[in-house]
Amino acid sequence: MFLEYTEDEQAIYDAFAAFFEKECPPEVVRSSEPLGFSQPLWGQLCETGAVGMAMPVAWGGGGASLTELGIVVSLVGAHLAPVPLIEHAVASRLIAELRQIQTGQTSGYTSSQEAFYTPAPIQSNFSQPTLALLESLIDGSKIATLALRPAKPEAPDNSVPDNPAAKADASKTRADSSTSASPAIAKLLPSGAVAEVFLTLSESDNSVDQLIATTSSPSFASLPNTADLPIANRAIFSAGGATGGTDRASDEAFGAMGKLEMSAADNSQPGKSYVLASGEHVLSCYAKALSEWKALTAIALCGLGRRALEIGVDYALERKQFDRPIGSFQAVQHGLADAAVELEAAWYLCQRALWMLDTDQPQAAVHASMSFLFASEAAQKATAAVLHYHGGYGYATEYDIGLYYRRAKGWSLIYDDPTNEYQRLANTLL
Amino acid sequence: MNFALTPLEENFRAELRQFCAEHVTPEVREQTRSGTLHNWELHRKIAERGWLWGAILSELGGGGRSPMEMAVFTEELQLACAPIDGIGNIVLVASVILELGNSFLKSEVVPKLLNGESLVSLGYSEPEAGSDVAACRTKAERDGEQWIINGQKMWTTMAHEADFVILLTRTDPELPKHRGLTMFIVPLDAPGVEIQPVHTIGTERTNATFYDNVRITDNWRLGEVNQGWQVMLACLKYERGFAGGQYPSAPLIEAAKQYAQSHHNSEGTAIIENPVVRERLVRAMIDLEACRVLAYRTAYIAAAGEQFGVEGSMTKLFSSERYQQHCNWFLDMLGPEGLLQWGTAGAHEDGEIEENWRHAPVTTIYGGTSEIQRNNIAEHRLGLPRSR
Repeated sequence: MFLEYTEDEQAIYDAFAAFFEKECPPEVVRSSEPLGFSQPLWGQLCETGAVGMAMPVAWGGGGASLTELGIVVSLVGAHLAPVPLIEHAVASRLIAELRQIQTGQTSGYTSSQEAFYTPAPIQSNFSQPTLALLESLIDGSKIATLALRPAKPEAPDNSVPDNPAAKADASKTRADSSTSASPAIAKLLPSGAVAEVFLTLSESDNSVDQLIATTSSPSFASLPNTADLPIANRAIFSAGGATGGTDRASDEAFGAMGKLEMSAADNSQPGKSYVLASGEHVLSCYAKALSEWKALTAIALCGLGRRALEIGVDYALERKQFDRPIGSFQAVQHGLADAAVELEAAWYLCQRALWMLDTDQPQAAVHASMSFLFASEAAQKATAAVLHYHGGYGYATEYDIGLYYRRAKGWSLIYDDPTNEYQRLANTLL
Repeated sequence: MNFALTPLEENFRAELRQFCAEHVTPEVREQTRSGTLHNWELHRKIAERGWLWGAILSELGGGGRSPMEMAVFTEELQLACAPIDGIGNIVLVASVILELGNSFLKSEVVPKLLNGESLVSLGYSEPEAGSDVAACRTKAERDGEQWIINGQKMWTTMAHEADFVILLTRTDPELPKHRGLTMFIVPLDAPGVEIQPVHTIGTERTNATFYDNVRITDNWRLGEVNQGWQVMLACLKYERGFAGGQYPSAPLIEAAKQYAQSHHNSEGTAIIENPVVRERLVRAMIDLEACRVLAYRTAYIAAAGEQFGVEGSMTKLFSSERYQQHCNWFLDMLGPEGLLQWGTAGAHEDGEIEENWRHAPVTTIYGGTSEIQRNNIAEHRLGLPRSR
């Protein structure tokens, strides 16, 4: 066992700790509200290579492990960085994996010894359109995300609220639907307000599972929410063109996604949906992506919670009542100590889950789910305790702890009511 | 980060599993019902394998199994519900004697402990000195080459099976609290020692020991006169290193699962179909994994030769408090029949959950109360001022 950062991992940590310290002070977080996205910060992050670091080397990615990506993600959490790194990385990896399977490539995700920021030679036989799409995902010029649950066909007269782009998409979809498959909406899509490409699992009528990729203009307007997350409802169009399965058809889909340029102001171009892949392997690939999302979100929540605890300790040492720092009172100390214990356990649960995913352990999915549930609660408890020890100031928007408190809930709840996840885990474990 | 065990550690785990499957029989597991969490036959088999010597650091002359191997050792024995409460004391006292003791203690006491012949009891606490252990009043007075000991110790668990007690005494009442203390090893068959049982709600028997003009030679002194607190700190170091009891929930969860899968409620629905029961079982399983990573992390810090007091505190605090929660959940799950004790007709899972529930309260008390652990974490991890 090696239960601390290796030298290489420490180097990643140091570099990105400095990056976020400089580029993402709380003012950046605040000024990005309510959308929850900072284009300049995303651009800067893209320049570091972090965005494509965990993509396979053979595709021009950095070949980093999820553990290594998790280091950057934990700092996204600590700084509440308004960038869609987790969704983008997971969706990109899913696209790469599916493409790899379709083309029979086996380069896999074996962690490279090369530093992730070194451009690697591309050694694949993919077609030019596919490579163009992957390139734009790796350099972050195109943002991708994935829906965390299968999209359901929209009930009639249930219009999509508060999102002009989606409304436009939906009306277009309804027009389409007269002649083809029932339209669907990806609801509360994480990073849905900023991503051009999003992936959804569709349970199709003939019981063949399909992964649908949709490209359309993001609205850059999120649904107003607790945590100022860039969430939006997005329409899925009737998946024309490709039927999935064959390389030629998929190439077409990839090519179209790679080429389609969307801009925020331009709603004249309708979006398009494609069947990216279909068949039995789709479910397992999607499940793996979901596990990656859970484990990475969990480590982000750990980073968030640990920073919130630091904020709490600093405040407790600084704030005086009854002529003493409140941090000298045992009642306060013990609440902070409890938060520290929960976060410590969460941290290593998450690290173990990432390690299991990296090494393809059979129990990886279970541990990803466990770490997500545990880290969610640890982060929520820690931020709630620290907010409380701020007294009335914790309730005032002026203090940063409120930013942490709201996101601890938002990042946890965006997936599902946790009681459902406990039941799903029970179905696996009991 | 890497959570893989080395081949050496994996082999040791396999060896331990095989040993437990063979020797930790249901009869041995039921040892707990005698009130003494120690079984001589099992203990001697463990000693025969050299595992007690193995637990001692190589720089102290021991077998030098790594902290990670010891983490695997305690994990496997606990998962098998082996009654091994005697082992922690042995490793602790033998280590302290080897670090700070004289040649007499090294030759007279250490081999008996590590060969599986003798047990040792911890004589720190007193009626008026619990968490504030330095408030100790048991007196040791010099009389030529001898010491005369008078006083009383509490919670001297295993004393009725042990040959020795490690005894914290006050040798200079004029000095400040932490300075006038001296540590001894006292043979429990010395005239003037009286052992009285203290019965607990957890069936477990512990003891109060009384020392009435007990005379021992200076050979039995452990460490320098009035340096008892330094010896005490060394003891705590080794206690946390061995740190038994990270997995008390493991057998409890198994029993709860077993019950839920084989019983139905009054409407005929299987208990295991109850969503609340399902969530609680999963929560307990997640907590158990959390205990595991905390225990591994503590061992990892120890292996790196660093102070692991804070990690030990975190592990102990988390595992004991969650265990109490789990005991409550799963006893409630049994309904009124959960109140029935082992051997009673209608007792579920042979009373194991009820037995755990009665044992649970002590786990947040012994080895440093939860409050002491939180103080330690607040001061040494969070950098908050000492608050006592």
